[in-house]
Amino acid sequence: MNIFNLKRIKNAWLFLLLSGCIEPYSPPELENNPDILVVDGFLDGTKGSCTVRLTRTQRLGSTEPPPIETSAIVQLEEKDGSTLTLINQFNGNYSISNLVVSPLKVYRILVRTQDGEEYASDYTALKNSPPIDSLTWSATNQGIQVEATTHDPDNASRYYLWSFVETWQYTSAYYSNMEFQNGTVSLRSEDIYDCWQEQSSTSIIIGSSDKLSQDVIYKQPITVLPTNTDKYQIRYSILVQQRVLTKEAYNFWLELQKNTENLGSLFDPQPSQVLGNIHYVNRPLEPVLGYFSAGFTSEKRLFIRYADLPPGFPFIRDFPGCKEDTILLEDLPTFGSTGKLLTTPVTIGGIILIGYGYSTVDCVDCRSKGGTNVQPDFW
Amino acid sequence: MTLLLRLTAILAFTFISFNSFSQRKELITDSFDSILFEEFAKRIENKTSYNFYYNPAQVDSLVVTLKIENELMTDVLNRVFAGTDFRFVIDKENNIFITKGREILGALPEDFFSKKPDGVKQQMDFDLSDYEKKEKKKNQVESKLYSIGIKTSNLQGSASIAGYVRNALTGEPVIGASIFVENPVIGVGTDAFGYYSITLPKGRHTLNIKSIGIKPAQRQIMLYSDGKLDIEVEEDVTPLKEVIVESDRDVRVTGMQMGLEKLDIKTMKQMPSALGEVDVLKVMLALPGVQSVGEGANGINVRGGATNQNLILFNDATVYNPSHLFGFFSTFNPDILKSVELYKSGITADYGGRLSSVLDVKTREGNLKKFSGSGGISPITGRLTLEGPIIKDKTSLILSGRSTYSDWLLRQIDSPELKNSTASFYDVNAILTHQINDKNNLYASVYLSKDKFSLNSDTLYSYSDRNASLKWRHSFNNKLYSVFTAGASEYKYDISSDNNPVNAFTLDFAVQQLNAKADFSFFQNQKNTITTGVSTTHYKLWPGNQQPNGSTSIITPDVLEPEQGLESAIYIGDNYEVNSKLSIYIGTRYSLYQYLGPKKVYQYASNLPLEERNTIDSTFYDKGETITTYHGLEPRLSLRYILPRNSSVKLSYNRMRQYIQMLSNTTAIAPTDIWKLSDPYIRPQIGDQISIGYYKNIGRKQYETSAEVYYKITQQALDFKGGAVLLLNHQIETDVIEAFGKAYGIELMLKKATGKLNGWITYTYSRSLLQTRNPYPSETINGGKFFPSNYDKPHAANFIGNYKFSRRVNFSLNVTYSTGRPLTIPLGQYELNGSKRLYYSDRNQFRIPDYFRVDASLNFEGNHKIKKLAHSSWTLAVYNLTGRDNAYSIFFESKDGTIQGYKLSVFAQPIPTLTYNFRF
Repeated sequence: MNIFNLKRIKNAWLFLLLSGCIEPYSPPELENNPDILVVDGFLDGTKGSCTVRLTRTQRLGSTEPPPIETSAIVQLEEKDGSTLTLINQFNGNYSISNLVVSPLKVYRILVRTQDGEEYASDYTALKNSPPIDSLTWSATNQGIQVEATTHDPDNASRYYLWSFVETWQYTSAYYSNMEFQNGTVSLRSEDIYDCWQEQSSTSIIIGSSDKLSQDVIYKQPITVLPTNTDKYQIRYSILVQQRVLTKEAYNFWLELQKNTENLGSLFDPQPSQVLGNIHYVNRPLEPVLGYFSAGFTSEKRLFIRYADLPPGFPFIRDFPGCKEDTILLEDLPTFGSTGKLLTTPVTIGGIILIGYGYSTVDCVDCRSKGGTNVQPDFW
Repeated sequence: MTLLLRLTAILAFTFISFNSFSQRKELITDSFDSILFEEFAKRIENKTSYNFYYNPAQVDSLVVTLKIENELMTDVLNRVFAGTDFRFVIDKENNIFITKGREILGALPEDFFSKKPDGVKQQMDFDLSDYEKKEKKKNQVESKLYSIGIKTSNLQGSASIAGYVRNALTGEPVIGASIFVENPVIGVGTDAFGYYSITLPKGRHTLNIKSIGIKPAQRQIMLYSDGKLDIEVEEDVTPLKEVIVESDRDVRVTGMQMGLEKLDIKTMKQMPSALGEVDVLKVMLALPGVQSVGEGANGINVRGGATNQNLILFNDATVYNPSHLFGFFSTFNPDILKSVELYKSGITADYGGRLSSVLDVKTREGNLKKFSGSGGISPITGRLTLEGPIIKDKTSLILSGRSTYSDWLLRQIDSPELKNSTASFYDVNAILTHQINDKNNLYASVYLSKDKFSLNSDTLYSYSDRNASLKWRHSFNNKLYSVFTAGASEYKYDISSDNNPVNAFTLDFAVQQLNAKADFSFFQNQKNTITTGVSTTHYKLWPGNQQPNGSTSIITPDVLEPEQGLESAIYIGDNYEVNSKLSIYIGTRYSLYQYLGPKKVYQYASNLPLEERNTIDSTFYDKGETITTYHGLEPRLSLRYILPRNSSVKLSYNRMRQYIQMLSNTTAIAPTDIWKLSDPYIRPQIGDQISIGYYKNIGRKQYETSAEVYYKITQQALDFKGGAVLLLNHQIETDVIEAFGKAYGIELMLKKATGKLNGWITYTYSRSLLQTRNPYPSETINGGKFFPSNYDKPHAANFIGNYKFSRRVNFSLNVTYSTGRPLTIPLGQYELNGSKRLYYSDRNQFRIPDYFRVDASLNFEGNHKIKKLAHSSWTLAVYNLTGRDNAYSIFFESKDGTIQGYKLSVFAQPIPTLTYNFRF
């Protein structure tokens, strides 16, 4: 629940004055960039797996992937129980699966980096997640808002974290059933017109029923599809995963959210360092970033088709720069060097083949936009 | 020679025919090196038979450097005025008349006395009868001898005379006027009621009355014994206002008070304003030592203090939120203001309860003679004031209202962002003054305001400020009077949301205070003035009340227990003039604060940080039961010593205690900030300030210079843990931490108060630092090192300049520079949960870019006929003339997995406004 959305005040304030402006800003260059270990760990009780990702801080504004910590030893420890070593994937990830975890036990992780530094997390209990009662959507000024509703009859959950994976179907500009290969034209064996793309959530979506008399989350906004997106031009699907957090973990994510997603105006709280539940064993005052959490998950999927949307919703089927042309049969031998793709046969009266339509790869092969032409199982 | 006489002479001269004395030819020899024209004229007058007549304000920037040997006066003056537009004429009696721009004739037109051929008589250009009548009346009053007291032949010893100085036209009291006799030199000032009391040797005296905005006046008195004399003085009519009475020029040097900034409404009206309306708080920001965190931010920071450390009094009632519309307007309607005083140091013992400063805003009293009104229209607001006598010369009433049409404006803007937005405010004032008799006066003031806004959201914010005060002033005798004041203030806000039927809520906060005080002023003798008094304030706070909004909402009602507190004080102060050079004020205030039940108070484990999880128990206190008591002395001291050559040095020390504070972990005052009383865990803040200043008037006192240095420490200042939750927090003490604050600085000012060109330049170097001294890491900021407060802006400079082109047109320019405010910025980034996150620096280790702004305004007055239906004026102002996009804030956002820094500017382009003002 976001009662005090002061960011809105800020935004509208700007309009109020009709003269405010926001410009990109680069902070002063630092001589020494901080180099701090970041631990991102999750013990998934539902899947019986534990994944820990070790990275380091990097220069502000860097678009590179963060530096990874590859030669560490990561262990999962059950309090008064066994200790398991996670398998190094050599890409910064350390994982272990086929675990049997108990909601009655508490767990922590231990990390020893290559340079011998030791880190440990606090012990964390696994919280059960009630099922998502419903996933709904509604049309707002900003676009299509996807909302989750859940409740816990035992009033024991209270703090929730959601993440999602969205998948949508889209097409290229021109359908293609012909293929030019090694100087000859043949029927295309693979559909490159219909594709599916997948994207995971990156923002922190948390909610709490702390202030409510019942443990109910009603229509918690999960994501908003802006009106100008092409994600729902055919069919859109979202898989929402729900986790229940301890109060400490909720506060951590809330703080992190405030510090990176909601800051700016004089009305916002001042930012501060957000430190999680990972500690430097030998030097407790040194900062360590990240969080280790544990819990069971529940999930639900929702489909939205363009046809379901309210009338007047913009239908975005815009392929800027796409143009289809025709190549005559006699010119075909030179086609291979153009790097373009054939679309469909061009005939006179549907009988006499005179050539083929063609266009650029971007306009013909839907995979060029990053999706896959393999239909997902759930589709 | 006073200006008045000079002008009279000029006017008289125009209509007097000249005798045919022949002009004596005197030769002059002298040399002048960079001296002011007035000095030059005096020297010539002393040496020769010539007399000069001129308007001092016109020649105040004219400097004479000349070497003359046996030259004629005409030649000398030709050389003096070469290259200027001054003209002169010398008559047959060796009177020299100097004018600007236009020459006057030294002789009458030749046909002046002979009829013109067509028989039409020459008409005079203007009728002076009105002026003459007034002068005559004035002369009558001034030459009359008033007998004071019971006639007796024994004129041994002294007697006191007291009374009110009032405006003859409106009956309003004249505050801060000086009443003095020249032989022996004895002078006093009128107080906030226009009241004065002066003790003189019995016998005959000439009382002089001088002040800003009134014509200098005199009264002849014969003082037999203690008695009364009320004095009515005339307002200085605008066209002649170029002369500002000189007596006030000395105040900065000879006055007792240091660190006091006093502005009258006329000065404030000259300054360019952002949205077409005079704003007290914005004007204050042009003064040295006064800062704000940014454009449109509520509140001011005085000498490194927090915004809630200012005691803001509106007719003696405490104001909790001085701003409308996110701080773009202050809550003080300019039409009814009389004066604004800001005490930065040397705060006298009668004030208490806040650490940094006292901002004392006083309204006018209504017109006692006739009904009148005033108002104005600007792009955002409209205002109207009506006033007049209820019983002539006894009772007057002012009613004033102001409102916005910003709602209407918002609807005109074709923007989806604003479709659902509203933003509006109004305020209403009523001020009643009643003179019961010579000894008793009543003053009542009521203020109401309301702000309401909803910015493209389903959440509606509104807040209101209401206060009322009633004052009874009683004179026991000439030397002792008392003021009894009762007041009530209330500030509250509520937030409501109804978009999501399940989460719809309302949230209220309120603070209420009832206060009563009695103040006594005793003018013991010419050297001693004793002030003493008692006061008590009862506070009640409703820190938060959240309720479901509508039947479908399942929001749990969450009500924080109300808080009560009682703050009482007793004070005494003595202003003692040791000799003509040394003057001392010694005072002390003793304040006692009780935090009262009913209230539940939590207990925490003693050796652990104050955190929710360390709660061990709670105790319930009954209604009226004292939970905690804090008390202490607050000594105050000021000292002034006059040095030779128009200069003086002043010293002051004061200690203040603050028992109610605002909790805010945002950079500026936010609409959801709450106030909190001191309790067993949140101790009162204690501030000590020592300051020393040097003041000097130079160049015939027209330039005032001053330098003030201060050092200030604050004990138990409030700060907050990172990510503190301040709203609806039942254990708010666990999110608040104590800090130690220190602030120091030097403030330099050069001011030219008179002349066609007037204004000031200031420069301030100051620091404001905080340090946490708590044993636990969770209660420590920046590892326990000193860090800059949010409003630490080391360098600040201001320039305010006014230039009067003519009596009807004046131009003002305002230039402001300051270091950017401190900022906590990200040092690096990291990835968590699939998205980039920020790793922040220690608190306030960086700064936003420096601030610079230029504003200009042009005022056009209507014609200055005294008798006309309505007087009007236009003000064209441009705010941020250079259009510089000053950073209001720097922020970083993680969006779609990448981090971008943004600079937010408001008023990033020149904002012109046109305001129409009228009065009738």
